[in-house]
Amino acid sequence: MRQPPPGPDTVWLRDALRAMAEADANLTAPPRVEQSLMKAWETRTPGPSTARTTHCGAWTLLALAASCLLAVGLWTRWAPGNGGSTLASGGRTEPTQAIAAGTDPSRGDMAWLDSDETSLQIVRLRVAVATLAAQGYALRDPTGDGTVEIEMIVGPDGAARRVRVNGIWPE
Amino acid sequence: MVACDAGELHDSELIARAQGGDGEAFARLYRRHQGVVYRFACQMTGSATLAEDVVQDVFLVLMHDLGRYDASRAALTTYLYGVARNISRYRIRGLRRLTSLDAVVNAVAVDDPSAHLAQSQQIRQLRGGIAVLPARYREVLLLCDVHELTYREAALALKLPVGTLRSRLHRARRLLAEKLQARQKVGARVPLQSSGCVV
Repeated sequence: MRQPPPGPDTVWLRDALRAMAEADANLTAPPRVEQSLMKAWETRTPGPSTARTTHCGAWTLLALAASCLLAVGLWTRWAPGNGGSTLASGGRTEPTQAIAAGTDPSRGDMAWLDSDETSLQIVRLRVAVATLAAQGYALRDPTGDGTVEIEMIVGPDGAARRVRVNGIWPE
Repeated sequence: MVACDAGELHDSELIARAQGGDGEAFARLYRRHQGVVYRFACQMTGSATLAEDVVQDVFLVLMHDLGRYDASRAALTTYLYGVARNISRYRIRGLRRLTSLDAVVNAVAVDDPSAHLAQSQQIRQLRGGIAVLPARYREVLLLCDVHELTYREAALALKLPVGTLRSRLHRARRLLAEKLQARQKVGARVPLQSSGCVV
């Protein structure tokens, strides 16, 4: 689709533009541009297809690593004998495990669970102050024995919803 | 337009080789096309310094997009014009906000890379007039009337419908003519039209 011939009122303008084009015809970029481009060529990153492949590999590795972490986390939370982490992780808590989680096992009345498993559960237990401090709850030691009595509301998914310390305020 | 010489490899062949890591093929592509890109960038920006940066950026884009360039859609020159137009507009955007129109005209005259070749008053006037056109008109005028692309090629480079391109070109010519004639009326310049344009 070539351009139609210009009208008489723009002929002079088209001629002038053409003359400008002729005057510029020999202009070229300085050699330093080519030199810097070729330097960039030497250090260029891989093309898109290679990059895409690399990204795919990276995502696979990342997914694998995430799966491993998840498996380890689940094992830590759910494996028998790992009750010590239930408070921290909010895993589903059996009463006996909850009591055993750093409390005096002889005090069986410390924990109470609703019989309806779909409801929220209230767990009362005594834990080490240091354990709570590790979770971000800095408390004074009220009794001087390094432990504190708390109430914990646990959801049907096993995750802790609230933690209340009886009569003690965070520092 | 740039065509490859007889016996020389076609652009698509050079691109294929460059994709395979052949640096010499890329260098040949650069040498073949840098002139048109540089001239267009000079005319768009009005500055040889900016034009150098534009050329470098255009070919860096090509370097990284070798795999994406589709020869069946547009000639390499058309693709390069399109990239050069985008980069030129980006580069001059900030400059325009800070520079008055008269200063731009003066900058074009002072920073004219072909000043030693074309000292004619008329060409300087013309460059000044082009420099103060809005970019959307300037690019259309340069591609169609200076670089002599067809409507279709220019529309491809600018990603515009042909109808829009034609109306912009018409408007660009009219605007430029008005600007040049207004300058003549001021009387400071040699009349462009009546001089017969021996530029």
